[in-house]
Amino acid sequence: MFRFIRRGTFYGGIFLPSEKSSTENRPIEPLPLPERLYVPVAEGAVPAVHNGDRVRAGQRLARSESGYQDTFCPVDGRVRALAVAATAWDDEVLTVEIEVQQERLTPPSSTAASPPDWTAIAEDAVTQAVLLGAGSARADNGGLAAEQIKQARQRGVAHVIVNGMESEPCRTADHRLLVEFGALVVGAAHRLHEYLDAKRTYVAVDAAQKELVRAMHELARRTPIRVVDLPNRYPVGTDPLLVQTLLGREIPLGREALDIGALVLGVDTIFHLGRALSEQVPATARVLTVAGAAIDRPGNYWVPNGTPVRHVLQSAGLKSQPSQLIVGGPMTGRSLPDDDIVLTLRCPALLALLPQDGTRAPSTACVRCGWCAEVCPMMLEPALLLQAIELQQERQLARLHPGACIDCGLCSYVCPSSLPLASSISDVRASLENGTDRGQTNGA
Amino acid sequence: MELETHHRPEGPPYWHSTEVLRHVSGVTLVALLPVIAAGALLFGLRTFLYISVAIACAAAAELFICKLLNRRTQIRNGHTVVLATILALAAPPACGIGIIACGAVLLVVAKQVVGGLGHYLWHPVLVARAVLCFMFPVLMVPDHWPVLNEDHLATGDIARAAPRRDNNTWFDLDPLAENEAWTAARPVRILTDLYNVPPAEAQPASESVLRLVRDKLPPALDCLLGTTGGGIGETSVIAILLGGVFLVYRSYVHWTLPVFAIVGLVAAAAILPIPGGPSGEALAWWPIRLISGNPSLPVGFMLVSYHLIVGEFMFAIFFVASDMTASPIRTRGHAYYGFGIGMLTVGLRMAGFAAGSTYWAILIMSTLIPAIDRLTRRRVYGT
Repeated sequence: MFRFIRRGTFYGGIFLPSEKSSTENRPIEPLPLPERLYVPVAEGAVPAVHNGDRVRAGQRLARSESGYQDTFCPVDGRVRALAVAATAWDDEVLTVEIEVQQERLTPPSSTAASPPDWTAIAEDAVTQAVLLGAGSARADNGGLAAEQIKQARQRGVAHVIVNGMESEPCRTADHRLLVEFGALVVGAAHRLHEYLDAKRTYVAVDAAQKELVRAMHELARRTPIRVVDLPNRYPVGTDPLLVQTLLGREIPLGREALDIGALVLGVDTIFHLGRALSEQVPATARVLTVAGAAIDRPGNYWVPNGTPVRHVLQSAGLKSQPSQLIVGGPMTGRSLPDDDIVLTLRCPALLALLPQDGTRAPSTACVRCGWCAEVCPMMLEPALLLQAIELQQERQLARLHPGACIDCGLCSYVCPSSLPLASSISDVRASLENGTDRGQTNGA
Repeated sequence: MELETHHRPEGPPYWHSTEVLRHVSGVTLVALLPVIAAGALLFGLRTFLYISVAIACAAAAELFICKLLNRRTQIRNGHTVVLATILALAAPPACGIGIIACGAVLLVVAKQVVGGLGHYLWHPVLVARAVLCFMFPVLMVPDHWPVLNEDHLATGDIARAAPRRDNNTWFDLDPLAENEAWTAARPVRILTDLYNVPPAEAQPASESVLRLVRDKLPPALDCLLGTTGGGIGETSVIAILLGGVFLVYRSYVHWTLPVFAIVGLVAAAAILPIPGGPSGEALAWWPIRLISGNPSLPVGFMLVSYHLIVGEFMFAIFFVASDMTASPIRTRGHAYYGFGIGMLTVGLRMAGFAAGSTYWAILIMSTLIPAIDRLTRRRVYGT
């Protein structure tokens, strides 16, 4: 049955060069395991293992009070120490150092991971699976998916949106998950739809991937899931813009999608949830896109939580000395100071770039071209914001609402004067959020 | 393995569009090529001389002033080169290189004194032009404007010119005449006279427009091709549209600016009254005539069309008003800005400013840019 789906659009945005061709058709492959893993422990969680303990894959390494941030062991091995390591987002994180005693870690097979009847899974099992799958996997935006699902169940949501847009360039992990585990994703989304008693569940897919769209439509035929193919105009794959595009509703400043009755989840979260539902395994590894001009064998690799960047680079091979290492996409990711960094479940991609990619000219004065305001999906005025920041005009700054910024980075991308617009706005937003509660200032 | 990577702690994005100011200037120069070609064809090879003198003087002045002010030169971004080219194209064909050199220095001063690119409120070329108009009114606003003879296109010298009757089409002029060029009044001057007839000579408005179009103005084709009097790059509407549409296509000029400028000009020219004599009606409101079915409708339409194609209007809205710094920051502001320029152009022509009415209109509207920016503030998503 073909259903017409009304869809909207959003202001601004750009069709960026996607740069996905090197990895988008490569199936998910295993990567040789490193000698040591540094599995990060969430803040507030207490390690449940001691030095020298033998641990098995799937065993709980750390227990959090709420139960939403437990850490599980990806492989069989032995705990060597509780070490401090750096991740892409934090300089110092408590990790459990594990000596790997396992030959290899095979990615889940796409054929086996399909339970007979998704809707037959009991409510309690779903609650458990949310803790196992979505709890240990951090959603892409850093929010805890399990907690969001719990809140959604308590408060009730009308719409669940599975974000398969992956609108950022170079990233193909979610795309591969949809291609290889489409049935699992649709099944898990179906069960979640009933678990949350939602009115509609959407799966947003890039309209340019015609085959994937067709396959997803086929898979979702007998389910209440609606597959929506959207043009991949960056940054459509962010929560407020997906809600805007699919539901035609704006998220008020300082609120989140849940406040207007929508739950947005990444494909990887749904995938982990699906595995937890069907096989009762926690999320301990993820698909990592390894790409960039300096990488010898780019691809989508199944990488356990806590793998060092150095190991991934060695395994995927470096053609030449990269000029820049980036975790995540080139628009929103993090630049790495060195390769002594640990990859977590939050890292969708690792890019090793050569000097000619992404170089930036020195900044010159703003020429008032207005391009930044034209592309900003939040309808901010980045040029005026930067001016207000530099001149420390507090009132003007407050009037321009830097808190609405979603860090898409487009203003810096288009700026012909190479001004540091996005980073300045993101800094001032961070300092405002630390200083005052965002919700209160908004309500006042 | 030791990796030496370039860490960028300031944060994302790590990708940048490769489009920098140099490209914007380059594309603008490419868009100016048809205008330059038309200028060279109609006014002789001195077009190239003017442009080179303007660029050389502007570059030298920029280097000198930046040295003087101890400022980093930005000559490599090409903005000053574009400005100098526009200055040369907006100049009268017979003004001489002294004026051009003087204007080039003035434009750099107008740009650099207020802080350089990104800081000025008034377009430097227009400031330089305004100063030149006050300093050398005879050279900048002459009574007779030359255009080359058909047989001497591109090669002739406009200094060897003979006067011609105003309403003759250029194609009917004798190509074998000894003079290499013909001079005539600018069509915009003739158009302006319509609004400024002494009361004693005034006729009914419909009558005066009819006479104007039939007896005084050159044919529309002349105005479109550019074979009438005017600045080097200002006369050929077709060449200007070629370059201008290319700029709009490359989105270096947002379409709202020229479109709303044209809408503003058409609205003002159609609606604003034309003075009539004591015997006839005082106003010739074109839309009202349209409704009442008066036969003078085609003349009204012709008047509006002539307003569009005479003078510097087209050149100014595509190449001068579209300057990034001296235009509003938002798209909606561009619409207001353009509309104001169109309205003011007609207003100034009615008041008798034939020379550079659009340039003056742009200067006035530039003054209002901060107000326009304030007026067009947008609602931020979610507030």
